[in-house]
Amino acid sequence: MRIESTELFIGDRQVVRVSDADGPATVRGDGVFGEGTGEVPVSVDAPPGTVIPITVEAGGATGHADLVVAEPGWTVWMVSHFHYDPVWWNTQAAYTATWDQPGLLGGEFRGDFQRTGFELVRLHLETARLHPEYKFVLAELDYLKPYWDAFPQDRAYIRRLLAEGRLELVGGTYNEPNTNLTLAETTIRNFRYGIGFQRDVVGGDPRTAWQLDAFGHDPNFPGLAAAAGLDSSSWARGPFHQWGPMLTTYTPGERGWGDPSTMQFDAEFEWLSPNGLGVLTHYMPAHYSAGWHIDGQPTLQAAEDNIYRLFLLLKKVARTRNILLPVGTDYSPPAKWVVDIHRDWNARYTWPRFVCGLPREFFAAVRAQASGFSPQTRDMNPIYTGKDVSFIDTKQAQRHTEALLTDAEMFATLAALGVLQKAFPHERIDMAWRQLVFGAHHDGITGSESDQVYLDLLTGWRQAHDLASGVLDESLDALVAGLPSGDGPRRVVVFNPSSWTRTDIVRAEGVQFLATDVPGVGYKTFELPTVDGWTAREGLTIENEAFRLTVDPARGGTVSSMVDLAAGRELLAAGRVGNELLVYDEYPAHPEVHEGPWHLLPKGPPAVGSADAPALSVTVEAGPVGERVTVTGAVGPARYTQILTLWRGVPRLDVRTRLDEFAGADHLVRVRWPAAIPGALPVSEVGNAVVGRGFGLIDTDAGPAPWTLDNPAQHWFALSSTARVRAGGHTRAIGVAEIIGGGPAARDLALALVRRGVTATCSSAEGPRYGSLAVDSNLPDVRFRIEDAPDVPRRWLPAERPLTEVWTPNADLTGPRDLPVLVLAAAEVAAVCAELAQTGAITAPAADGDPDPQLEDYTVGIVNRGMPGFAVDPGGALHLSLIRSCTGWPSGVWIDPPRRTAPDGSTFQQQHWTHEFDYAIVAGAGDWRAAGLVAAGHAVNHPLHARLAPPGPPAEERLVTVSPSTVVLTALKPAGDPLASGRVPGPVSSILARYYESAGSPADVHIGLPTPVLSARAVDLLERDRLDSSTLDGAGIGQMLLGVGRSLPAAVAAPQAAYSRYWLHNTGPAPIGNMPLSVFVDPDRVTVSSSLVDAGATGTVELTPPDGWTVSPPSLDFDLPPGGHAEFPIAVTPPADPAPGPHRLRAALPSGVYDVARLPGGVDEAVSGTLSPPALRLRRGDTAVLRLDTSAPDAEVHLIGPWHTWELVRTPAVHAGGSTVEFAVRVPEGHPPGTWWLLARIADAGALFYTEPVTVTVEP
Amino acid sequence: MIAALVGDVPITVADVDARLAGMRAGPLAARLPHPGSAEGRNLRRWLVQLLAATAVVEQEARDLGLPAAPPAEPPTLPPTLPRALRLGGVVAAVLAARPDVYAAVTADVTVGEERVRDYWDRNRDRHHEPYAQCRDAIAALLLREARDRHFTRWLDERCAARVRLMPGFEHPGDPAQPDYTHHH
Repeated sequence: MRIESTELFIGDRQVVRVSDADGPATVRGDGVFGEGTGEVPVSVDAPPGTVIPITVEAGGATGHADLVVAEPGWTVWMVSHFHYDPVWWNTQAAYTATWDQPGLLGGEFRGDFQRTGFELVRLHLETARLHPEYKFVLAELDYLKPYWDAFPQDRAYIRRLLAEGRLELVGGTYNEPNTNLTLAETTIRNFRYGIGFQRDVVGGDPRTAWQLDAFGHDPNFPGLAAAAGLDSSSWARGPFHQWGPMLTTYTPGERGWGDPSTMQFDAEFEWLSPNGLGVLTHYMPAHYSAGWHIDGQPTLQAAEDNIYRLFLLLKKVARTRNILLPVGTDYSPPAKWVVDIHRDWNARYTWPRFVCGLPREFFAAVRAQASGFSPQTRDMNPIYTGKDVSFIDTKQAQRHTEALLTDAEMFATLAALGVLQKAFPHERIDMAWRQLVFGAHHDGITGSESDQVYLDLLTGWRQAHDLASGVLDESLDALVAGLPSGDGPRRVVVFNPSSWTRTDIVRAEGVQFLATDVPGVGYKTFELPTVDGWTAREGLTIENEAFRLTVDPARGGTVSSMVDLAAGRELLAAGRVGNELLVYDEYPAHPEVHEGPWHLLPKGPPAVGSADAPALSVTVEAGPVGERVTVTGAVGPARYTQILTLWRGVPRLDVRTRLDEFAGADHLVRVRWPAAIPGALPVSEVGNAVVGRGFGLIDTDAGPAPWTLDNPAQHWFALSSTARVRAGGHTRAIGVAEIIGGGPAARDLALALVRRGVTATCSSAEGPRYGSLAVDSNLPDVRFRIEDAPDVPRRWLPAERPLTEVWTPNADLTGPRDLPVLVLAAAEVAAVCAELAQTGAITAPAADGDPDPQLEDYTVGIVNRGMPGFAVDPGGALHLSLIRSCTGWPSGVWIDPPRRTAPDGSTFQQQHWTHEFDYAIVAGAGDWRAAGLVAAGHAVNHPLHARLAPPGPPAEERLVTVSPSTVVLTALKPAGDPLASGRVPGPVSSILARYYESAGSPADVHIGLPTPVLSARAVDLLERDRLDSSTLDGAGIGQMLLGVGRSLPAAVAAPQAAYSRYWLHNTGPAPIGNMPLSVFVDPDRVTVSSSLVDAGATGTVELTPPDGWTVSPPSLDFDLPPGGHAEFPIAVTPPADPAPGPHRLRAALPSGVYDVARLPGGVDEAVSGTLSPPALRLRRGDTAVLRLDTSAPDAEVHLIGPWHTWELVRTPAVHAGGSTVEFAVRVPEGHPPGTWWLLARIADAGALFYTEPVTVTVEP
Repeated sequence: MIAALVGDVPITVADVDARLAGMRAGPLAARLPHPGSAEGRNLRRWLVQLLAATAVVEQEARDLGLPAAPPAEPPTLPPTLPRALRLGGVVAAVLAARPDVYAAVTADVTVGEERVRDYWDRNRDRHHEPYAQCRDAIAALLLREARDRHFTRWLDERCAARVRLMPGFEHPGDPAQPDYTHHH
C-alpha cells in the first residue's frame, strides 16, 4: 500500500492518495478522518503546514504516513500565449506568413509545432470558437497590425472576445524591446505605439507590460510602464540567469525542475524605478514556456500531473494563492491539453483550481488577496552578455540614429514654431521612430539574428537614419533662413541640441573649430574660420587645458600616462597602459548550453594585446584646434589605427579606433583603460538612470564560469562612487545592495538608495541571501539589515575580506561576513534616507578592521557612441567591448536562397570589414555627477550641428530654456502621436517637452520656448493630465504640454509606392504613414481595409491587369467608415492566347499602397539580379555608379551595406519595374578609409533575392 | 546497432541509414542539411521518429486485427501541407500510410448535437443561416477536428507506451540531446 499526502481538495476535504490497496481505505489521524478508494477525501481540522500522523486501513492491511495539512484556495491561471520574435534566425516574412512553406533554407530549425504569426492568430481564434472556455493573449504589433489589416473580417470577432473577457491584449508596447540597449526615448515610443494600436485602433485595454523574453530591463522600465497607464508587468528574464532559478537550460533536465526557493523575494513584487514609480510585477520563475510542457504529454493525466508538480514548486514563491502559468512557447499553437485540463481537473477537484485565464484575472486575484508587495529596485541585468557587442555595427547605427532623430524632431518642432512655420513632417518622423522601435526588438538590437535578418534590419536603421538626417537638414535650413541677413562675413550657425550651454568642436565646410558658449537648446553664429590643419611635431606627448597624455611606441602606441592637470593626478594604474586593444579567443557556442551570439564566451584571459608588440607608426600633430596622436599597429585578427585628440577648450580625450582587415573567427576585442581609484566602484548610465554595476569577471573561461558580468551602458560607464557609507573617518563606496527585513521601511530605503544610484534587492532575514552567481544574474556589494527593535544602534560591520578579493568567478557572496553590513533600526531609516538625499552618504560610527580601502573621491569614465558593452574588473581596469565575431548558430543562417556571405566567404556575424569606434575619456575629482559624465555622454552622442548661413550680423538665441540645470531635455515634439493611434496628423497648438532629472534630487521644472507659453501642465506618457505639479521627483522622467499661441502646421505626405504585404519584403514596420489604408488583391476579389479611428476613407482602387487582359470592374470606388473594410468581387479575363510569362494583376490605392496578385496560368521567373562592378576602389571626392540588372517587374530594391557606407550612397531604396537601377556612389571629403561591401535586396511582390556583394574600398 | 525499440522490435541504425540514403538520392537531396552537421544528425533523429511511429502503427494495426499494410514505401513528406502542419509531420506521414488505422481508431468519435448547436450559437457571425441549414456542415467540421485530435493523442500515447529511443537517437526537439540547436 502506498500513501501520499496531496494538496488536492474535494470540497473542503483534503485528498490522501492510497494506491496498491485491496479495497476501500479508511484514513484516520488526530482530527483526520476519511473513507474512499484511491483518492480519499479526508476532513482535517488543523492549520496548513501541520504534520499529522495518519493510519490507513484497506483490505485488511494497515499503513502509516504523515499528512501535511494543505491550504485550500489556490488557483493556477493557465494563460495561453505564444512568444513571438518578429525576426530572429528566421526572417520577418517567414515568421509572419511563410515559414511553413517547404523549400526555404532554415526549415530544419522549425519545431514541428511552430507556426507563422498569421496562422497562430488564426489557430487561437479558431480554438476560441471551438471551446467557450478557451482564453488567450495577443501581444506584439509585428503580427497584430498586419493581421488587423489583412484579415479585417476577423476584427468583429476579436473585439467580441475582448468584450467577453476571453482575449487580452498584452504588452502595451510595440514589441518586447531590449530597453537596456536603447535610449529611454525609444522605449517611450515603444509604449506609445503599442498602446496607440492596441487601445485606440483595436479597442483593447492593455494593462500588463508583457516582456517575456527581453534580455534584461532598464531601471526606468517599471516607471515608464506606470506612466503609460499600465498597472503590471510580466516577464521571465532579469534577476536570475537566463532560464531562471528553476532551470539550467531550456527545459527541465533529468532531475526535473529546480526549486525556486532560492529566490530572495516573491514572484509577485513591486518593481520600482529610481523615481519611485512602478508596477506590480509577476516574474515567471519557471520561464515563459513553463506550461507548454503539457503539450508533449501523451495523456491528459500526464499533463495534469505535470501542472500539479509545477504548482507544488511555484506555490513556494507565490505571494498569494494565485499562480500565473504561461502556457505557450515560441510560435506555439494552443497547447494540446489546456482546455481538457480546465474541464477535467476542476470537475474532479475543488482546489487547486487549474483554469484557463488571463493576466488581468491573475493580477486582480493577486491584488484582492494581498497588498504591500516586496519592493524591488534590483538591476534586472545582465542577461546574455553577448547582446551588448554582437553585430556591433547595428548598435552604432541605432545609437547614431536615435541621437539624430531626437535632434531632428526637436529642431523640426522649433522650425514649425519659428517665423517660417515650416510644416512638421509627421509621417517621416513617425516612420523613423517605428523603424527604431522595430529594431529595438530583443533579437534585433541584441545582435542575436541570422545573417539574412541582419541585412534586412540594416535597411530599417538606414531608413530611420536617412529620414532623420533629411528632416534635421531641412529644419536647420529653415531656422537659418529665418535669421536676419545683411552685411558681414559668411557665418556658420552652430546649433546646440542639448538643454545647456556648450563649448565643443564642430566641423563646417571641412574646417574644424571650437564653438564656444553655444546656448542650449539654441544656436550661435560664428565667422567661418580659416582653414585649420595639423602639423607633425616631435615627441610622444599631447596636451590641452585638462589633460596631458603620453603614448609608448614600444607598447603598441598605447597610452603610458594620462594626467588630469587640474587634479595633478595620473589616471592610469602604475606601470600599466591605457587604450590597449585586447583580443580574446571565444567559444563559438557555450560548451554546455550551446548559446552563441547572445553569450560572451571568452576561453580565458586575452590571447594578445596591442601592447605586446611595437606600434607600426606613431604620429604626433598639433594645430589651432588642439593636439592629437595617431598610432597604427596590428593585433590578432586586425590592423588598427587609433587617433587620440585633445581639443583645445574641451575637457575630455576623444578617441577613434579603426580596425582594418578584421578577420575574427570567435574573437572578442575590448579596449582597456586601467584606472586606479582606491575604493571606487563601477557605475553606468542605462536608459536615463545611473546605477552601480558590479565588477566584471571577464578574464575567465566562460565554459566553467559563464557569468562575466559584462553590462550594457547607455552613454557612459565609470569607475566612481554613486553613494557612500562613512563609518567614522572611513568612507566606502556602495553600488548594489541587499536590504534585509524592514517591512515598509525597506521600501523607503530602497527608493532613497536607488535615487542615488544604488539598486537593491529586498529580502527577508529568514529567506535566502542575494549574491550567489549560481542563481543571481548579478552580485551586491553591501547589505543593509533593518532591525525592528527601536533601540538597535546604527552599526557598520565591515566584511571579512576586501570586496575585490571575494569578487571572483562563480562567486558566492551569501555568507554573513562576505560583504559589509549596515545594521539599523527601522526607526532610523527615515534619517538614513534624509542623509542619502542630502549628501549621498550614510554615516555610521567608526568600525575597526575595515578591509576595503578608504575611498578616493575621483571618477574616470568612458563615453561610448553605440558600444554599450562594458566591464570594470576588480583591479579597476575599465573595458569597453568593441567587436566580436561569433560563428555559433545562427551566425551564417540564411533563408531565401542563394545564401550570401561577406565577400571573403565569412558570415556577416563575423564582421569582416573596416570598423570605427568613437569613445571618449572623461575624468575629474568627485563622483560622476561632479565629473560631469551625464553632460559629457550627451555631448559626445549629440555633436553640435553647424550650417552655413548667408552674411549677416552675429546672432545667438536660446530657443528652449530648461531649468534647473540637472534636468535634461530628451524630446520636443508636437503634442500627440496621431499616426500611432490611427489618426490623421493635423495642425496642433501644443508642444510636448520630455525631460529627466539626472542627479537624484527633486526639481521644479520650467520650460521656456521662443514664443510665449500660454499654458504648461505636467502630463503622463500618454500626454494625459496628471494631478500633481511640475515638480519632478529625483531621477524622474517627466512630460509637460506647453500651449503656444500659434498652430504648428502639418506637412502633407506625398504618395509613395508601398507594398501592402510589406512583411513579405522584410522591411520592418508598416511603410511610411503607418498604412492607415491597405489593399489586398486576389484573382477574384479586392479587399480594402482602414485602420483609421476617427476618419472615413474614400477613394479608388486602380486595377492594372497584364497586357491584353481585362479586369472588371477596371477600378473600384470605396467609401469606408472609420475602421471599415470592404470586399469587392472582380473578374479577370485573359486574352484568347495569353503571352507566356508572369500574369500579374496590380491593385493600387491613391496613397501609393499596392498589392499584386499572380493570376492562374502565369509563370513568374525566379527573381534575380546582378550588382556590378564587383569591386570599387575610390578616393575621396570620387564618384561611381553601381548598376543593378534585374528583370523583376515590381521590384522594391534596397542597396544594403554596413552603416559605415551610408554616406557613400545617398539614395539606397528605389522602386523599379523590370529595368536597370543605377546607384550613384560618391565619397565625401573627410570620409574615413576602409573596405566594406554592398549588396542589393530585390523584393518583387513577395519574392526575395539578394545579390552577390560587391566590395567598396575607400583609399586612405 | 539499434536506434530504437518498438515493443520488442528493433529499428536498426541500418534501417535509418537506408532511409536516409534514399532521401539523399531523391529530389529533395539539395535541401537536406549536411550529414556532418547538428542539423544533419537531427534529420536522422527525425527519421527515427518517423520509422518508430510507423512501426507503432503497424503493431497497433495488427492488434486491431487490420490487414497488414501493403508493402508501399511510406511518403517522406506529408501529403497535404495544411493538414500536415496541423497534425505534425510524423503524424501526417503515418496517416498517409495507414488511413485504415485512422479510420479504425477514430470510428467511435462522435460529436453530440449539443456541441454542434453550441458552436452554431457562439459563432453566428460565421453561420448566419438558421441552424437546420448549417448543422451538417458544422457537425462535419467538428467531427473532423475531434477525430484528428483523437488520432494524434492516441498515437502520442501509443508511441510513449511502445517506443524506447537509444542514446544518439533522442527526439530532435529534446533539449537534452547534444545537437539541440535552440535557443535562448
